[in-house]
Amino acid sequence: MKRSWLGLGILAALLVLGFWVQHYSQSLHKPVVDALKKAQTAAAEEDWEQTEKLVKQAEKHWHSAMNIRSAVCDHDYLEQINEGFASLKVWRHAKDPAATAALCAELVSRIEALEEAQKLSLRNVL
Amino acid sequence: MILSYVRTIILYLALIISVRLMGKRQVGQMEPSEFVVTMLVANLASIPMQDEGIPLFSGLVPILTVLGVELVLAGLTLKSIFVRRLLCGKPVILIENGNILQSNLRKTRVTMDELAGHLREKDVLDISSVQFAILETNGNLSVFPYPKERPATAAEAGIQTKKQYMPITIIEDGYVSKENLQEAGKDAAWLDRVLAQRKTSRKETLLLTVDKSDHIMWIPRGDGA
Repeated sequence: MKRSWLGLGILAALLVLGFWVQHYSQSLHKPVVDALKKAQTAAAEEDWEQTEKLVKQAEKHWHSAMNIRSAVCDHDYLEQINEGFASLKVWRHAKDPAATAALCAELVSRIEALEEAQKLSLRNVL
Repeated sequence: MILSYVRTIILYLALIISVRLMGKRQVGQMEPSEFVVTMLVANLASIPMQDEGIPLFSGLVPILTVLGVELVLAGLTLKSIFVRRLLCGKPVILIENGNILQSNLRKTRVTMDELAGHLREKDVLDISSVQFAILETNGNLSVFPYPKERPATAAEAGIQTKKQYMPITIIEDGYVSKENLQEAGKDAAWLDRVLAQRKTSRKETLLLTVDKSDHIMWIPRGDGA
């Protein structure tokens, strides 16, 4: 019976870990998404100083918990977002408001999709 | 490359621990649920081992989940007959008093060829000599011939048998097990005496065992001995 309790313990620990990862990844993604949304508005208004500041802030938040993200998220997907940040730098330096704002919006949707993929929902289970 | 190496080691260790915790049973003697778990765990581990794009947790979490479920179900199987029947099924009699129970044969989807094959494995050629043949939950067939068809046991034949003792390994591959030496109630002086009688040393011994009746078996290293 000891092993059954061990099994139950493993299952409970995994459940707690699963919820924690879901909650933690939400809290990790929120500042990135917020900064990118603001950067999108700033880029559309051609406020490049503010755009630069916000994008750097978003990038800093994004890279701060890369190990945890790599442990739970699809590596190819993370790589695509990293490439998105690299492209954002190019458009920002070119001072192209439409392309920068569009890329910010694309990154936001990708990060939100990444967060959505971690959520315990019937759609994801199915 | 180093990434695959590290990931493989981690997943391999997770597999070993999982299998050890499931218990030591031979593959051929697995219950259906155990067989499924073994198949699943092996497949679950191989995917993240090969694909570096898949996060490590995607390999570890399913393995641990399967292990957890297996341990809980194993406990429930011990406690509840209902769960045992549900997961393992129940033994089915295929031959009773020399007659094949065809409905049970159909129910278990065992063909006549398979039944005959199982019987031949048990050295039975004539079905009418079988009193009972039972298909166990692990897929093995237990065959009980009529008592008159069975070889006589020593007790039935009235033969006096010697007591049988479990041999305890004292030296294996040149290494002395002090724990086993103590368990056998012997000491180093006894071991030196035994080796001196055989004009050999610990290093030259491949295997040395002793049982409670003091019967010693000694196998030297090398082919020439």
